[in-house]
Amino acid sequence: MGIRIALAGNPNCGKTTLFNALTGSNQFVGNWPGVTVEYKEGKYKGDKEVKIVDLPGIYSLSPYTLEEVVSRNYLIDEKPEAIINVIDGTNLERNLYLTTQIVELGIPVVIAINMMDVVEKNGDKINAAKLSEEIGVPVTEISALKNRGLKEIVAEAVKAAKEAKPQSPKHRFDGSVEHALAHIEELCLHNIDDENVQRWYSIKLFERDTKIQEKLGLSQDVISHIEKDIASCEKEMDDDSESIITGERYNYIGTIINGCVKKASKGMTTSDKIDQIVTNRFLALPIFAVVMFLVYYVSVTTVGTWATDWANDGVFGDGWHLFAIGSSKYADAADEFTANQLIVDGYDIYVEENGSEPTGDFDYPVEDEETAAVEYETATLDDYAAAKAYVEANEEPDPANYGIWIPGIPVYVESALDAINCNDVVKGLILDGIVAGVGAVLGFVPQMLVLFIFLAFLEACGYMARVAFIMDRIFRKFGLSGKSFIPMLIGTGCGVPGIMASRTIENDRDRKMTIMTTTFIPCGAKLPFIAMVAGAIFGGASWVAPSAYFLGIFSIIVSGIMLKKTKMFAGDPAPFVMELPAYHWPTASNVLRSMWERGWSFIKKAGTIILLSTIVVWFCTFFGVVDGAFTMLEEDQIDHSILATLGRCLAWIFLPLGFGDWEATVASITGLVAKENIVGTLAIIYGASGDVYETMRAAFTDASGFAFLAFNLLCAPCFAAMGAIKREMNNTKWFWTAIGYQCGFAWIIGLIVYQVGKVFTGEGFTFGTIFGIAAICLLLYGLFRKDKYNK
Amino acid sequence: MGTFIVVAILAAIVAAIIRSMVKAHKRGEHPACGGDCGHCGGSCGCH
Repeated sequence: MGIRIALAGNPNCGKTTLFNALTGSNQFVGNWPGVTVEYKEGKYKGDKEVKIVDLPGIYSLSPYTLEEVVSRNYLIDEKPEAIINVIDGTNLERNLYLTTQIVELGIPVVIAINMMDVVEKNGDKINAAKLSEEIGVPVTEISALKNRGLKEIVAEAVKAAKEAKPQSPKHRFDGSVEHALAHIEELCLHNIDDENVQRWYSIKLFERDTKIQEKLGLSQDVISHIEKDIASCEKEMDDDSESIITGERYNYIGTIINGCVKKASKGMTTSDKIDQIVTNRFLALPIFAVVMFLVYYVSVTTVGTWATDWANDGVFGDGWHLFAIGSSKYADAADEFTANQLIVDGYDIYVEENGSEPTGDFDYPVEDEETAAVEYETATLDDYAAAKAYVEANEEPDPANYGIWIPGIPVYVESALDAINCNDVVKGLILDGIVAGVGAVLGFVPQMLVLFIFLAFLEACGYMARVAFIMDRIFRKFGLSGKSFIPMLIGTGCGVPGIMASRTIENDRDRKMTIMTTTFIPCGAKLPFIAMVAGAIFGGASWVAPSAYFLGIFSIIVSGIMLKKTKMFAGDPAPFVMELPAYHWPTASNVLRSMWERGWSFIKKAGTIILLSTIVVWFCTFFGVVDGAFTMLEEDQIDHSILATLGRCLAWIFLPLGFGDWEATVASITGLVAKENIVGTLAIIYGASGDVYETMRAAFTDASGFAFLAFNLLCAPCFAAMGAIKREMNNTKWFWTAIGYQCGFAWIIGLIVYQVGKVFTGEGFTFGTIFGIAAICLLLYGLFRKDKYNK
Repeated sequence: MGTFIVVAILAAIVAAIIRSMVKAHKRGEHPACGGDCGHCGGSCGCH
């Protein structure tokens, strides 16, 4: 039988980094508590018989939160063959508190002092040999990040597991505590063979741990008897039992630290100096706003756009010039040809409209590529003559003449299908359905990768941990806890782990509220949709993507304040204790690995559920009933499609939000399967009428476009996240309450954005604006009404 | 013939995707979450 070695330690001491290094796994590592909420198993790279178990971080074996229960139960019930107690070397005192409890479990323990590289850099010294002697277990210095001491620590753990001789804890409590413990052992624990385990249970019973009382099945008589022993000790020591144990443990740790640790005395570290600015009471929030604005601006508008334009117009479009050689010359030639062609076309339009040739200057229409706005320019008859001569003398420029031209995937696919005489229906399915739909989603991969690089960097360098600290200060003013912000940080990647991270919140009401609001933060899957709206409706405006992020935070704060004033969520905010890790440059491999993992999961999704969805959407778009007969539709008949019929049944819901047409309605609904589907669906539907972006731009105004964005950002998340909400709520009523609240809140925000936004975008004050103002009043009432339930 | 081959390939791809999704569902995964286990704090619970 193999050996199971559990990694146990405080949150954020490097257990998952050690687990990844030992097993070769790629579990997500974060520098805030709650990244690991359930235990994970993996095989040790050096010996497949050795199984490594990564436990959620805990501060003690007296559990308060769900993930702490997971860790304690594993250690007590599963009894691994050995425990590697991972200790953060930069904070020995706090970490040893758990150690003093782990060594009482009756399981062989070895201690790994992690982050020794940082300890040495700080100039501190730890006498590992002395520490080992004091605690009575082997101690090894390691650095999980730098792969230092890893083989040694596993070898020690395997040796301890094979010997199967748990160390006896060296620590003894005060005489009166030991007296009470002896009484408890004699009273109800004498049938447990292992003396160490007897002692651990007796300490827990002394601390009045109700879960242990239930586990041992103690009768009321026995509990009353134990209570007498505890009360007698408490009277003698003038403190409550739990505080007595905690105090004694820290006294013991204090003596160990004095003998084993030498701190280099120095002033402020670089991290402290940075924190003076970054977490400053006045500067913290503006800095956070600027950082997140830059992240989304660069990801979606600059670097991301260049890459996404290449992916959309090149790889999934007509094609591209290799290394962009010849692109600018081709663009100049194409612009010149188009400019002349527009004058010639304008002349023809004039003749058609007026029935005669112009006798002097004439106006001709020019459409702006970015905004689709049509403006009129004036040409003279000489201009027309020159343009006509140019158009007659030159053919439309061929990109292949300007460099090495690589056709896009649709071009190759179409050629291949034509070559084998493929049926038009199947060709339409592949080109207008799968390639257009999946291609539209995959086209945003470069933007996502850029965003993921930034997020990975901010997480790994330690800044995101500060954001939780900054937000706690703000949240607390409104009766919320900064703990609620941790799931939201995790939710920027994917809502599912974000929802699961809410387990770190002890207060059940706060936990439920956090689950309800976590998915307001735009996850990675929403990025293609945000980028599409920014590009198509707002001409690539730089403010759109950051505003989506800030709208998410705004919605969380507003929801938190309103919900806290209701009977369901009233109560004091949970305390938030979090250690801020020192700033450090993350390794390039870690950042790139994090980016790739997130990006790859997106690509996999495009190849599975998005692909299937595009087939269904294509079928429902291009088939329908015309003149009483079910048939395949021409592009100008898709108003008769199955999708159009279904969409019209529900479009009335979105009419007050400004996008009450069937196209936007079905896109919002398919987004419930996976948020990327909004992009795929719009690409298929609008693609049927010509250029996707141009058709989309014509379908929305600025106000209705942003209302469409706001609604889809805030409404119920994808089915996977809904499943996570159902699991975490563990109650059907609460699940539907959460989904109902999200959809209702999204609808109200969409209503305000459209109805009030119309006034500011030149559409004027309408009857609907009154409802928009009423919705604002409703939100203000929810925010500022008297708080009856919280003191 | 060309159409038949394309339809057969397409059907095989769709069948493979559905099969993988059904298998994933039996393992407790949800296809829409992309199986991003590395980032999932509770990956042992649902995947």
